[in-house]
Amino acid sequence: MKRNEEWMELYQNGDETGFTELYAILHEPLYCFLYRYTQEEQLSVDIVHDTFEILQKKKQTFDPDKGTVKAYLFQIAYRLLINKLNRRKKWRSLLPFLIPQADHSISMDEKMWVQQAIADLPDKQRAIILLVYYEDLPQNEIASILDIPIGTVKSRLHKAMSTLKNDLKEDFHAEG
Amino acid sequence: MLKDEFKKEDTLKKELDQFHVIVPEQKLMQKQVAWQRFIHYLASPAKDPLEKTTVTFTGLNLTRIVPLALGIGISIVQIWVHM
Repeated sequence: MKRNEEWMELYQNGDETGFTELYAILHEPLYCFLYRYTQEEQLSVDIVHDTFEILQKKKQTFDPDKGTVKAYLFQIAYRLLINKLNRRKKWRSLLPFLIPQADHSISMDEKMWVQQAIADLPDKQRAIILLVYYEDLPQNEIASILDIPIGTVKSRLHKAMSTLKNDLKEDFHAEG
Repeated sequence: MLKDEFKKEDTLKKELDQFHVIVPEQKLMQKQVAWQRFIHYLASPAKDPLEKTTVTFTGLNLTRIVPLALGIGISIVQIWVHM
């Protein structure tokens, strides 16, 4: 079985199979990361599409010596996501009546604690938790995706973990 | 690996493991072009911009009375101008 980097090399050399295989392997983890971050299906789907489109356009800029294809793809997606969310924030501050209604199909009781707790985390801590726990990416790759120093990854992870643990404690106290 | 930091956090791990994601394969296979995204955005229900006014009785009455009063006012002005 070929590694992602080998499929990418094939693709860079003009073989479309490389792209098809990369999409088959990576679209799911990418969607899961985006969905866990935004908890919005359509936005996550759109960003997956845009990310693979950018990969098609910029396939030659990928350098295997600088990192893995997965990290490269996640970096593109994360930048797109942050840009889209910032743009949305600006529009909403200018035209507050454009704020869409909250999805009432899932009530707050039905929504799992973990979903709410992750959504409540500060943006920077949320990305770290998702990339470490669910994607199991190494520290240097996370640093390159989020464009932060390697040392900051660990400190942010500890902050995020302690925020979640405190939240968890409070939740159990409230229930008890 | 950084994930080792979670080794001693059994309760936290148990909670985090519950966050499963269903991947919408069908939607992922259909790419939406920019105008479709825009139409989808326009069609999505938005928050009521007058919600703060309409939830109170006085506010609700004001939203009814103000346009009526304005209409009457404009009619009076028009009658007065044409006299």
